[in-house]
Amino acid sequence: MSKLPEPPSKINDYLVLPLKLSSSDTALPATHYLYLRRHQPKLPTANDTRSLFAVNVPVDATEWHLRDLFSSIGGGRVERVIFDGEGEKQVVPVVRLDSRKRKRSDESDTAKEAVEVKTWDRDLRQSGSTAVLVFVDKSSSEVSLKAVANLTKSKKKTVVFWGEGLSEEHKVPPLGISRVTSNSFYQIALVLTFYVPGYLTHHNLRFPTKALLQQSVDAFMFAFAEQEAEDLRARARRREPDEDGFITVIRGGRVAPARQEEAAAVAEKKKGKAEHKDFYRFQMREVKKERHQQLLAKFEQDKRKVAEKKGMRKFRPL
Amino acid sequence: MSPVTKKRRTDPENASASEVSSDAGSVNATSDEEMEVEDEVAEGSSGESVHEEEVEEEEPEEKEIDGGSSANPKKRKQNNPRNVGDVTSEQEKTQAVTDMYEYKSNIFRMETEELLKEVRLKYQKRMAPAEKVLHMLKSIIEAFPKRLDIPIEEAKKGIRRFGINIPFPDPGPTKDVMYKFSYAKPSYINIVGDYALNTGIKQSEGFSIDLVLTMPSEIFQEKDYLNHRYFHKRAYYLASLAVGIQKSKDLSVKLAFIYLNDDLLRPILVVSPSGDGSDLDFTASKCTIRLIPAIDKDTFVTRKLLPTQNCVRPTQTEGDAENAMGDAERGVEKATKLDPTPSYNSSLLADTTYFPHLSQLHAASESCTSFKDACILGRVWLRQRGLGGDISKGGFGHFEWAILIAFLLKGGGSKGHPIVSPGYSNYQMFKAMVQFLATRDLVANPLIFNAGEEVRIKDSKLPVLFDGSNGLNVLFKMTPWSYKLLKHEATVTAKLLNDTASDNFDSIFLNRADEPYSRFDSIALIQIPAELGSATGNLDSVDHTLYPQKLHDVLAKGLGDRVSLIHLSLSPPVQPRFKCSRGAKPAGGKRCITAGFLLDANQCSRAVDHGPPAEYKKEAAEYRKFWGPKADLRRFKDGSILESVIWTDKDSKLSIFNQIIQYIVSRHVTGAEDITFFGDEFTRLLPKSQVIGSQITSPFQPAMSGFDTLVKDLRDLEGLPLQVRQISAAASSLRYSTVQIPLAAANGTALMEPADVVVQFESSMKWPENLVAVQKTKIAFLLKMAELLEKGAGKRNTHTRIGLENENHPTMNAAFLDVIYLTGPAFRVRIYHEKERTLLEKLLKGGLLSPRAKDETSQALNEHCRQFIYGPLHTQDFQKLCHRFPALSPTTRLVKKWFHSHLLSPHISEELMELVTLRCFINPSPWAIPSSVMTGFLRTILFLSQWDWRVEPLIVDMSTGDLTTSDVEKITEKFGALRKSDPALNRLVLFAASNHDQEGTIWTKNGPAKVVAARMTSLARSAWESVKNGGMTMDIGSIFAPSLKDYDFVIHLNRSFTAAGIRNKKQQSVFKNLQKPEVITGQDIAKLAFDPVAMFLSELSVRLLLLFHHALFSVLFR
Repeated sequence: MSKLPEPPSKINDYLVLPLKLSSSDTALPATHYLYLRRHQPKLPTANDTRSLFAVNVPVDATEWHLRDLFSSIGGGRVERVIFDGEGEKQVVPVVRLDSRKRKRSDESDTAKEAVEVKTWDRDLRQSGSTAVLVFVDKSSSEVSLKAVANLTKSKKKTVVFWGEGLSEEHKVPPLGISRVTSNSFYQIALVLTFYVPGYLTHHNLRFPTKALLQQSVDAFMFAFAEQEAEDLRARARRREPDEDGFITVIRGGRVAPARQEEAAAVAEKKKGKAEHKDFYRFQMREVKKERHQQLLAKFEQDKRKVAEKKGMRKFRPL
Repeated sequence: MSPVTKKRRTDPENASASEVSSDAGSVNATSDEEMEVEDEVAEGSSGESVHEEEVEEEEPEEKEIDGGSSANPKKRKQNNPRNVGDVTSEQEKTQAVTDMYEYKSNIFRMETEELLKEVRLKYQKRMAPAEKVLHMLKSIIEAFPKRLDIPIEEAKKGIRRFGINIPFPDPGPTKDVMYKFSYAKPSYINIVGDYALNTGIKQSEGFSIDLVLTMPSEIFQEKDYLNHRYFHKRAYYLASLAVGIQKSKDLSVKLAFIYLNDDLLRPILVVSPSGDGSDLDFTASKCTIRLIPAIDKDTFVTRKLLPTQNCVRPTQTEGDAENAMGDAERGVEKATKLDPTPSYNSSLLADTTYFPHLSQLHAASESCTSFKDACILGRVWLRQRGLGGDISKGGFGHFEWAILIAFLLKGGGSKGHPIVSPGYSNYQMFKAMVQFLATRDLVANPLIFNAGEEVRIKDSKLPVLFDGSNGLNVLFKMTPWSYKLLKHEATVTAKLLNDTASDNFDSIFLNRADEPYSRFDSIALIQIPAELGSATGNLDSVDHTLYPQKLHDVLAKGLGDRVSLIHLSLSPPVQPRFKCSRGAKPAGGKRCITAGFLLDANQCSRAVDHGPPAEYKKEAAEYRKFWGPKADLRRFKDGSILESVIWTDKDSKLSIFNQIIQYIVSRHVTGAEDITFFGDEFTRLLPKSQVIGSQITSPFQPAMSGFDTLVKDLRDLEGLPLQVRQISAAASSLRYSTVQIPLAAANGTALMEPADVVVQFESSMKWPENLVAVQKTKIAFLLKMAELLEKGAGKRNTHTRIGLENENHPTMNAAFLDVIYLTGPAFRVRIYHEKERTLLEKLLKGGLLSPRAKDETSQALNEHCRQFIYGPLHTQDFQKLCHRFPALSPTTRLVKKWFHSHLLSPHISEELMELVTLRCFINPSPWAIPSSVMTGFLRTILFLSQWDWRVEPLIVDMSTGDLTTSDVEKITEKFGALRKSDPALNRLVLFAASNHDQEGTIWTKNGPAKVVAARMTSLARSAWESVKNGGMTMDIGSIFAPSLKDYDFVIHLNRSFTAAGIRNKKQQSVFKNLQKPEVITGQDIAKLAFDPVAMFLSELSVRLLLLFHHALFSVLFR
């Protein structure tokens, strides 16, 4: 590997934080670069002032990893970490339970906890992904940024190891690939060692007990039925005026917007029945003309094909 | 006028068109007539019907009107007065094209014209030096001095003085022969052959100019046709010519003797350019000049040289000299009792026919404009199939093709009507010829012109095209097997020509079909002694047909209906020496016969051969004699007692088929002990099964019967909210196409990898409309099924578990049910809900999704279609096809093994591999359907190496004819549109459509990427090259050795962490006596389908290599 130029300490308004991937194995030492700046989303939220935005998060990053990282370099305390895409990951209909209902049925409450049957004990990030680090308060986020800046500016070159300081009590589940050392792509080939238990756990988690599964399905179905009933009620409410004679306007009136192609299909169907295709002379003539045109087109196409083939010198087989 | 010129360009053979070019209408009319003829050729299965319909051809006008173009006459009337104008010319063009297409004349015709243009030899070019040499040769030859009546010894000495060998045929003249040798100026010198006729083609080895020198009849005696005397004198004449040319100072050329068409009796002199760069060096002309000595037709009496006559009397020097002496003296009347010597006679007569045949061909080309083109087409066709005029190439070359057309122009049909009419176009003529060769059996029903039936030889197995005016069987060089091969090729081609649905031009003319490894199902290389003639003791001197004939008969008898075609090819003979050297004859060494077999896949591995019943004494004795100690008298299940032979491939490395060959050849054919077989190696590469059965699919039987049990169990479930409508298999192990045989042991010691099964319930309105809820409902169904299955498990040892999948994709199928029978079979059941597709499509069409969700949804839709709709259909059809084509299942397995071993399998779906293999079975042109693993595999590899996937879609019809022509057109259109929208092939690289998936993307959407596809092609190419170059000696395993040097990095995995390694762990008990009897334990079940490698790979590809998803990466097991 050729000697790489010294990385800049700042790119645009991102601070560069070099992380040494500690190598317990014999692999070459590698450096991963984490880029940090203040969190400034287009749509501001309440937590923006105490958040940092991180790019190129290591693939094996967990909340504990990042917490320990900042505590080791003398930054502030991380409250939580929102990884790439996790904010919007709400495709599943949100289970909204009526407070009234909840009181009535206690068992549905316990069931709800089991809704999520996890099959991986630890998630992996995509390479080059982002994360939002929410600190406990604004000052600790400031302190953290400063710490990072000091680290890169200082002549001493204090080396920060990734995942090294992970304290014992924050035990993260082992990965299929023991990622004690590596996370940058070109290292994989060198340091990967199998750590099967990670996969075995996944394999076992994939086959949950039937009771657990039943429970989760029941919970989902219950919630789903609730929501459907709620929707039905809402729709019914839409039609009924209240005691003052007003109808409350609620979101989601129509079932679905009518689509153009559906209308076209219906029209087509109607048209086909009514018309005779070979009644008038001009129709026949037109059909014929069309056929001639088609054949002509085919002829031209064939000619092109042959010319193409000729171009490839295919006609010289011997 | 544009339409007319166009017409003429596409049909230059249309002679009448040029005369009436001013009248566009009549051009159309004539072309119509022509199309009609062609049409009829297509329909007529035999020569007669073609002819009869041709007679009706007299009233074309009416036909045309019937043909639907009623507007035609009117238009023509309008056009004639003012025959120019854009509108009309446009109309005319349309009309012309319509006519062309209505009569099935299409792209094929254009391609034919293109081919002819490319292949036709332009003689004017660069021929000047060759012409000069020809003139020079003529003057040199004419200037030679006469040398008459020289005795043998003196003649030999005279020639040897110049260091030239006299190419006497075997047996050569003895020292005491009484007849004298002479040389005199040839009476004629003339050019014959394709140079004279202008029918030569461009080919890599150049062409030759045949110069015929007619030897004057005064140097021969009346009886010279007997006992090789003519051939001895001819050899002397040839040697004298060689001496003369060598002596001449003006001309420096290279000289050599070769046998004309491998005929050992007829050496000729070949003059090739010296290459010295002088003005007489004709290297640039790319030709050689062949000097062929000939005789005048009336030198000998033709009647005495008919095929039924004997012209070689027994030798007088051996033990029976006394009696033989008398015979020879008495001459012809005795000759009738001796065996006829047809090939000797024909060789002699052939020397008289150069001029008559030339004039016949010339007359044909005069009377029929497309004759020459048809000859060229035939020539290309024959060459691509490795057929040629040389005896070693089958004895049917372009000359025989041309002369056959010339004869068929005169007759050959019923009542002597001609089969080919002079008005045919080149394409029609070619088609008629192929049709004729395919349908007419010239052995049983010979074609005889100008002679009676008396010229036939009884019980001859040779084809006959008898030219009575010359007394010659034109096909005398053919052998029974070469004729069968020709007929076979013609039949295959005739089928292609009649198939109007697809364009088969490539496989008829452009693709080479002579590679034995892809042509024959099985090949055997048989070493035979170099000297054959003396062993057979036959008078007819062409020994190289007699020995193979015996071999052929023995093979045909021994193999019976296991083979559909046996072809033998003997390597060409050693050419005669030009220089005379002191040493003994060139060491003959061993010669080889390459035997190629086309097998009947259903019969070729049959274990029992039934003979005649015991009570038929005579037949039984004969049977015993043929099979020797192998034959046994056995009682069979149906009560019959038959002579029979039993084979097994248990203890032998050879397949049954090859064992039979080995046995009968060494038993019946002397001198042919050493046999090398080619073909079995491919079968041996496949993992073997312990299950024995007669069917090729029987190794898969345990898995299949397990599936049947599952179907029964699921159908018997009571208490499900909905009835089961359909249970279909969707796994490669249930369509006979996994490399490893599922349940190879079949004794309940190991579990099978769970095979995918799809269950569909009857439709119900109660399913939720929400995709996520649908998945949850499915889980509920699975839970219920599991409960019921376990409840009813008393009778069987059934274990169930439910697994989750696609955790991060809530719209995809979420769960499956594993049903595990403790006897071994295991299945993975998923529920198919038909509404899911509509829901997904609605979501996609709704247009309310974010790009990311859209991606996810379309992926879910694709996955759904693959898993639940096309997967089961594909499996069902492939299963059926495996029964229809017995070789399909093992071939597919081998092809998959090839993909696996080259690390391509993560990228290329199994279904695509299956479709590619299947293509070579459904559409085997230009060959027959493969009947062995070797042919199937090699043709698949060949296809992969030639498949230009940028411009060619793969279309496979898995049913019989469900895919209509218009469907194919639609698919091609879709393909065109796809390529147009994505010319860089970023989204889809391979396009593989079948009758089910007409979109062509279902099996290729998730890969391969462009680099993978390119690697596939290049790997296939090099595999094919190594087979072609390595031939019989190559190690087949080398095709399957992966090359790692192109990868940027390679990950070697520890074997103990692979699925196989984990499963094997429990067998590692050190002490044999401590091993427990193997049973399936709970741990086995828990670890079933645990594949850390797959998980590792998916993590790598999804999480890490996303940026590099065009990178080629694969996993190697060590």
